[in-house]
Amino acid sequence: MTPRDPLDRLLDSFAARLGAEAVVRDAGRLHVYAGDGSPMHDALPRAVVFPRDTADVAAIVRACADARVPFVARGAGTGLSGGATALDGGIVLALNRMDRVLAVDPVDRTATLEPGVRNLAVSEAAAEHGLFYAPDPSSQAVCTVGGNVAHNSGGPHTLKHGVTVNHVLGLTLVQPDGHVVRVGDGACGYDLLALLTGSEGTLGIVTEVTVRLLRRPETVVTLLAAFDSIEAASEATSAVIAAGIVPAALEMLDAEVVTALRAAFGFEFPGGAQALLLVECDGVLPGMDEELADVSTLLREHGALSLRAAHDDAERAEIWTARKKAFGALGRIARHYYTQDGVIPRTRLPEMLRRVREVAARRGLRVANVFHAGDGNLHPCILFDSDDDKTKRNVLEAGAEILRHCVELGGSLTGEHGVGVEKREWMSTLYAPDDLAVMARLRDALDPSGLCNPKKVLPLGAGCGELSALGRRAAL
Amino acid sequence: MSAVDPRGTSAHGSAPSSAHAHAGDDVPARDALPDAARMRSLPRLEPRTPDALAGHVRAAHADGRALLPAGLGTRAPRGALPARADAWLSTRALDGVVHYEPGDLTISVQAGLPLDALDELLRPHRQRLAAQPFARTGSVGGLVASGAEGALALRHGTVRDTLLGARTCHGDGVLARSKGRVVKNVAGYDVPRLLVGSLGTLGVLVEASLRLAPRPARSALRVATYPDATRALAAARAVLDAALEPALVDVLCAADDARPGAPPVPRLLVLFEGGAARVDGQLERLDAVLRASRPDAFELLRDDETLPLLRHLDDAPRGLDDLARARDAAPPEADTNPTTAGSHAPGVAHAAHDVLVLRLQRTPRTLPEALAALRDATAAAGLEATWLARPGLGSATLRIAPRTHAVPATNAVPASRAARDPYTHATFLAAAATLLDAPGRHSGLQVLSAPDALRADPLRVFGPPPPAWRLMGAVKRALDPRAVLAPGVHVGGL
Ligand SMILES: Cc1cc2nc3c(=O)[nH]c(=O)nc-3n(C[C@H](O)[C@H](O)[C@H](O)COP(=O)(O)OP(=O)(O)OC[C@H]3O[C@@H](n4cnc5c(N)ncnc54)[C@H](O)[C@@H]3O)c2cc1C
Repeated sequence: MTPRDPLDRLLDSFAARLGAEAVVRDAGRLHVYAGDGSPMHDALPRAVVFPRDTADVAAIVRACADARVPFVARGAGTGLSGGATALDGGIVLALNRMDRVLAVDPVDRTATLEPGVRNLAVSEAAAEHGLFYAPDPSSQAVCTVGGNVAHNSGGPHTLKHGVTVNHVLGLTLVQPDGHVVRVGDGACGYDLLALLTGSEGTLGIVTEVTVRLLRRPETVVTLLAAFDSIEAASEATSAVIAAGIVPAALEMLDAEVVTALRAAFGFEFPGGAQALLLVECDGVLPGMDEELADVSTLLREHGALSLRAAHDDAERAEIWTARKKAFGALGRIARHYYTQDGVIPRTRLPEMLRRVREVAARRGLRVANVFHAGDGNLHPCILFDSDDDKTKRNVLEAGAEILRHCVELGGSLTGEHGVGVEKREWMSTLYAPDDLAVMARLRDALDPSGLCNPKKVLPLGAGCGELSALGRRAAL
Repeated sequence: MSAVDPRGTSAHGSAPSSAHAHAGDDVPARDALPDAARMRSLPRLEPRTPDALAGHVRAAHADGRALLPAGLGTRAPRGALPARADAWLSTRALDGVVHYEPGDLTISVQAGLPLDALDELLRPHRQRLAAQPFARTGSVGGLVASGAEGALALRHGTVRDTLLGARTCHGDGVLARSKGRVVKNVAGYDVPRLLVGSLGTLGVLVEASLRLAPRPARSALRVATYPDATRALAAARAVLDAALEPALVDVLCAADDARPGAPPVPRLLVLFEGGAARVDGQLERLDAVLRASRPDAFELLRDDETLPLLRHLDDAPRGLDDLARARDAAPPEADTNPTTAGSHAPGVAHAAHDVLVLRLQRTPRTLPEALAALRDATAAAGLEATWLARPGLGSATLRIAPRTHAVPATNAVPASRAARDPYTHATFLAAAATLLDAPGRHSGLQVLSAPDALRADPLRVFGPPPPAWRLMGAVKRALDPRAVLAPGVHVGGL
C-alpha cells in the first residue's frame, strides 16, 4: 500500500467534516471549476470543496494554511478576469451552499447575507418591504454577493446609486490563517471594509455580508434615443451630466451592437441609427416631468434621431432587453467575444472610441461597444471566430492596447471586472513600482503565507524590490 | 524602536477591552506623553513639494522620530494625544490644483488646499464638492484624514464615498498613488479609502481626486420645532419613511436664541434640493407629514438663506461648537494654530475648554434609545448636551459642556453638586470622565474633541477597540512600520 498524498489526506479530513459529496476531486468534474466567465484563463483546481457555514470555511482555510495548500473562494464563477481560478495547485472553496438570506431589517434598511446569495435574490428578499439592493451587475441573476464584494462590482444603475463599496456596511472575514473576524458595523478605527471590498479574495474569504438597502423609487422612466454617430451620443451623454442631471443609468450601444441586435432578435431601430443611448431617470414623482423634459431637450439638441419613452414596467423591460441581450446578440454573430473593462474620464469618450476603432482596424478585428457611458466605463467586445493561438494572441494584445489607451487618457485598466490574472501584469502600466510595493505590503500584512488566492491582482514582481534584496542576502 | 505594537504578545483575537486607565499588556506605556506646552513648542515643517514632504518623513523614519501630520490646523486635533511627537508636518504649503476638467465632474487637488478656496474654484462652474459642500474651514487633507460626516451624507455619502484616488506619503517616506481620477476604478487595493478617518496615522495625504456634484438650482430647508427630543426624532422617522428624497434629515437640539438661558430646543431640519418643481412638490408632501407630528413652530429657508445653517451642520463638530458658542457670553477667538488648537492652557474661561464633543454611531433603529441614554448620563453628570442627530444614518454628534441654564423644577435629575459649588475645570474633567468611563460603553461612541487631560488614554477616547483591531494593527505596521506618523493617536493606541 502506498502512503497517501498529503493533499489526499487533507481532502479526506474535509470529506469527514462536510460529507463525501461536498469534496470533488475527479478530473472530469473539476473541469467545471477550471475557469470563470472570461474565455482566456483556465487552470484546473486540485479539488473543490463545498463548505456550509463560517466554521466550515475557517476549518478548511486553517487546514490549508497548516498544509501550505493554496486556496481560492468561488461564487458563481461569472468573474471576467480569471479571479476565481486556482493557481499554484490550489483548491477551490465553492460557496454556493452558503446561500441563505439571514435577515432583512426594514427599519435599518439592511440585509445580512451569506456570500453565496445571488445578487438578484437580495432585491427579491427586500421587495416586500419596498426596498432593493442597488448594485446590479448585468450578471445579477447568477453572480453572488461574495463575488460582488470581492470585485466591488457595479452595474448600469451605479451611476446614481454607487458601486458595492458604497453599500457594504459590515462583513465577516475568514482570514488567511483561519481566524474569523467581524469588520465594519460602524465601529471606529481604520476602514477595513474599503480595503477588503475589491480585494478580489486575496485578503481572506468573506462568509457574511451586511448591505444597505435603498427604497424603491416612486417612479422610473426610461428613454431610448437613437443617434447617427457614436460621437453625437457621447456628446449628448456629457451634456446631460453637465446639466446637473444624475440619471439612474446612462448606457450606450454602438452600431455593431445595433446590427447584431437587429440580426439576432429582429429589434427595430430607426434607420441610420449608429448608436443608442439608454437613459433612465428614477425618483419621486414631483419634478420628474421637469427632469424628463430637460433630458429630452438635451438629447434632441445633441442630434437624437428618435426618442422613445417607457413609463411602465412592460415598456421599460422592452427597452432594457436591447441592453441586456446585447451580449447574447454578439454571441450570435461571432463564435467568441472578449470583453474589456477600461475606464476613462467621461469627456474623453469620443476620443477613446476613435482609438478603439483604430486598434481594431489595424489588427483586422471587429469590436462592438456596449457600456456604462455615464461613468466613462467602456466594455469593448472583441469579436473573433477561430480558436487558434494566433487569433487569441491578437485578441489579447488588442485588449491590452485598448487598456493602454485608457491609461494614457487618464483612466484605469478596470472599472468593475477586476484585475484577476488577466490584468495582473498590466498593473505596471497604471502604477509605479512604489505604488505596487505599498499594495504588496498590505497583502503581505494580511496574508503573510501568500496562500490566499495567489498570483492575482499584483504583478508577480510587485514589492520585489525589498524581497529580492532579502533573497540575495539569504543566498550569500 | 516602534512604540506601537498592537499585536503585542497576547493571544490572537484578543484586544484591550477595558475602557479605563488599565491598558493591559497590549497597549504601550504612555507615561512620557508630550504635554501641551511641549506640543506648542514643537518645530513645524511646511514642505512646498511632495518630494520635500517625503524627505521629512524618510528622515524621521531613519532616526526614529515621530511626526504629527496636520493641515491648516483649523480643527481641534482628533484622537488621543500622540504617544511621541517631535514635529508637526503641515501640508499647508501644498495647496495647488492638479487637474480640473469640469465636464468630468471630478477634481484633483493637493491636500493643503483650503475648502473655501476649493469652493471658489468650483462655483463658476456651478459645481461643488459632493461630500460636505458647505464646509468652509480646513483643508482637503483634513477632511479626508478626519473622515467627518457632512450635512448631505444621507444623500451623497461622506468623503469616503467621493474620494476617487490619492497620492500619499507612508511612514517610511514612500510616496505612492492608488486609484486615480475616474469615477469607477477597481485596479488594486483601495488605499485612498483606507486613509479616510485614519487621523494621519497611515500616511500623509499629498494629493486627492474627488468626485464633484452639480450645484442644485433650488433648495429649501424646512425647520420644525418640537417640545421634546422624542417627538422630533419620531417626526424625523416619519419623514424618512415618506415618499420623499430629502438631502438632509437632521434633528438639532441647540439653544433657542429667542430664549436665552432656556434649555436647548429640538428642531427637525429637512432639506430638499433640485429643480423648482422637485423642491416645491416635495415640500408640499413634507408639510402633510409634519402637520401630523404637530410641531410647535414652523420655518422655511430658501436658497441662499439656507447657507449659514448648512455651514454649521456640515462642519460638525466644529459647527456645533460655533452654534453653541454663539450663545456664550464671550466667544473665544478661534484658535487656528495647529500647535495650540485643542490644547488650551489652563485658566481660560470655561466656555472655551470645558467642552467635550462626542460622536455616537449606531443604527437608525437603535439611535433614539442610545441617544436618550447618553443624554440622561450627561444630565446625571451635571452636564448639558447640544446635539445633532442624523436619524437616517444612525449617528449623532454631541457637544457636552457644563450646564448653563437653570434646572427646571420638574426635572427628575437631582441637582448636581456642580450646580451649587463654584465650577472649576477639575469639576468638569471629573464629570466628563465619569461619562466616558461608564461601564458597558458602546464601541460606537468616540471622543471627537476634549481637553488634553481626557485625551491621554486612547481607551477613553475611542472606547474598547473593535473586533478587527488586530487587523488594523497589521495595516498600521504595513504602512507605517516604525510608527513615525501620529503614533498612538488612533483606536487602541494605533
Ligand atoms: C454576462 C456577464 C455580465 C457581467 N456584468 C457585470 C456588470 O455589469 N458589472 C460588474 O461589475 N461585473 C459584471 N460581470 C462580472 C461578474 O459577474 C462580477 O464580477 C461578479 O461580481 C462575480 O461574482 P461571482 O459570484 O460570479 O464571483 P466569481 O467569479 O466566482 O469570483 C470572482 C472573484 O471573487 C472572489 N470571491 C468570490 N466569493 C468570495 C468570497 N465570499 N470571499 C472572498 N472572495 C470571493 C473569487 O476568489 C474571485 O477572485 C459580468 C459577468 C458576466 C459573465
